[in-house]
Amino acid sequence: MAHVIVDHVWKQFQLRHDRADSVGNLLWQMVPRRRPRTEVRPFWALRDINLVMDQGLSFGIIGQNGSGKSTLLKILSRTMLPTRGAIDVSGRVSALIELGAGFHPDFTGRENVFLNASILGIRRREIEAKMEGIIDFAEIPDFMDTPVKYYSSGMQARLGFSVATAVDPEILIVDEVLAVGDEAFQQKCMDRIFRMKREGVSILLVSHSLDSIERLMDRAIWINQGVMRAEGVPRDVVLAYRESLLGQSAIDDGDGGGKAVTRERAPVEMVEAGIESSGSGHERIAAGSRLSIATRWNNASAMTWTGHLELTIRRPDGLEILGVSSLREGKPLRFPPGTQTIRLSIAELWLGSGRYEVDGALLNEEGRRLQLWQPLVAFQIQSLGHTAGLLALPHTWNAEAP
Amino acid sequence: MSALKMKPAVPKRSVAGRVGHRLRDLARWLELMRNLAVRDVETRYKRSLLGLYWALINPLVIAAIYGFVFGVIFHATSGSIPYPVFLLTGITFWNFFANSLMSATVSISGNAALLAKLYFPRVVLPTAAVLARTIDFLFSLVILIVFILIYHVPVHWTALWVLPLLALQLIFTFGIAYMLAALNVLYRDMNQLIALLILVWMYFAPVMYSIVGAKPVIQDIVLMNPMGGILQAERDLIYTGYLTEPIFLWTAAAWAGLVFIGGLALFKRVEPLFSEVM
Repeated sequence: MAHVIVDHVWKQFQLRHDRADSVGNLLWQMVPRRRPRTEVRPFWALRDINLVMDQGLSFGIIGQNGSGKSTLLKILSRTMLPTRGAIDVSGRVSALIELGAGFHPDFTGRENVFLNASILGIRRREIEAKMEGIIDFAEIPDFMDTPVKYYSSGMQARLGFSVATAVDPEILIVDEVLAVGDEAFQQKCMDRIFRMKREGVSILLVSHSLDSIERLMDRAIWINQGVMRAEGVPRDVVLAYRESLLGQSAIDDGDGGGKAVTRERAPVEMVEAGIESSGSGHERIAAGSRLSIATRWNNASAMTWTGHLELTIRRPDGLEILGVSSLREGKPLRFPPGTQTIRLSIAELWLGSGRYEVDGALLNEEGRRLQLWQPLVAFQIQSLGHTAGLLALPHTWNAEAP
Repeated sequence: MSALKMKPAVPKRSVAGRVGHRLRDLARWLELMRNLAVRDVETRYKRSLLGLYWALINPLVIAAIYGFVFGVIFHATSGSIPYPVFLLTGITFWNFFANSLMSATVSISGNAALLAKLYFPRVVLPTAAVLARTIDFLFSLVILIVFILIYHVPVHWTALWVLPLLALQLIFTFGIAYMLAALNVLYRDMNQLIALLILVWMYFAPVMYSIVGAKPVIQDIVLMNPMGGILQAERDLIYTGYLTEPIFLWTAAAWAGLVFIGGLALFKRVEPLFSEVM
């Protein structure tokens, strides 16, 4: 049975700037010291990480850059040893760490496929049978006999992902594959990850794409500066993480230093939020009716403040249905002193029956997230037609004689 | 440590399960080693103009130069064997050793991309590097045989004993190879150092000269050198059928065992640092 157990893992790096990295330096250091030695500065990249991942369970790992996510994945893929603690990984592990799988630059794409397969313990005949599929998925048939060192980073990522997922792993470790490759390929990757998950493969995914973690993973972990800050249902963990990022730049999601961030406070305050609808009632709305999300704001200062609002309609399981952002649309909102109401109106909301939530975020002019509401308001849709699925679009049947 | 939120314990497997697991892993790493070695030879020669001929041309050119300098100018004596054959024999066996060390030294540091992303016992890399040079050696052996035929040098049946000697040489080579591969990760100029060392070392081994007739002190120094003892014995077994100084084979065997164990131990000790230093 495939499982991953991380048992009180600590990882320390010695940040020594004076380590001799050549024999010449080494001999030089043996000369009696003129200056005192620089201190060894231990750096704990991971502190007491615990994790139990059962068969078929998927974990998403989130956190800012430099928080230790990749170190954890390297320990799990056994390319690094923990300083303290132990791990137990059983089952065939396929890991995609940073871009590309482990490729030998002088080998051709095809040779690298064989190399990777033999490291994972797959017979040559087996992998030959799969070669067609691997090439198809990577979409680089013309380059399979070119040494990998001539590949573009996108091509390496394509082949890497294709190989790592084709070798029938029981545990798939993926670190930021979605950072390279064009959008179509990213989508293809996510589709494949999701399909593998359905087939019972355990997946460990590091991603800055919080939405996909929320949507696709069973559990999530938030690591901050080497410490596991939260573990649980992705939605809760992502929310906790997002809240910690408030006031930092929302555009490069998490690239900030993380330590001494001076939180910018929103100068306006939300007084109330609600749903206005042309359909019957406030809570239960007929599909296709007009819907407005109204928010009332109070600006206590004497100056007009300009900012942005993001509203997202989601299913309670986190699936994003509609995301509207005044920032993306380039329409800044003005908040004059005193109170005012801002309304987002949707002419006809053709959603299927069910409960929906609206998340809100307040951003400043530069796109920094200042405040989050998750959820802001909720509403219930009643579809009067007999359609199934996410949408309840108006439709007609037509039969015509040829 | 912080208070325990949960206590995930690493489960213990049964002994039989562990042994089976180990054996399956071993088969996998042997296969990987073979793959790496074969591909090393392939890529080294496939994409170069003269292909595999480099493995053959190299010892020939070296033999020609040294043959001219030592045979024609200095009139080196080589007993009953014609000097060109004597020299080529020495160079073939010596190059096997020297090239193995050069390849093994960069085998870890030159494969950073592979190491950072895939798990396999790191010792596979220097081992594969030495195995690749073993393949080269087999090719250059063909040249040596051609020369032996051209010069009509009688080959003694004891030449078969060269096989266990080669095994001894290989063990010694592995030991040093592991050491150098590990150290080159920590100290990047190990590369240059070893090139120099090999050059000096060659003159302390009977590659280009015969020790027969040299002062006993010189003989002892050369034969105490494990590669000296092994090379001398290899040549003796092929051409004369008896060992000049059998006692020095014991020295070489002791060296080989010691260096192999020491090299492997050093490698294992430095291994955890690979992913952190590179």
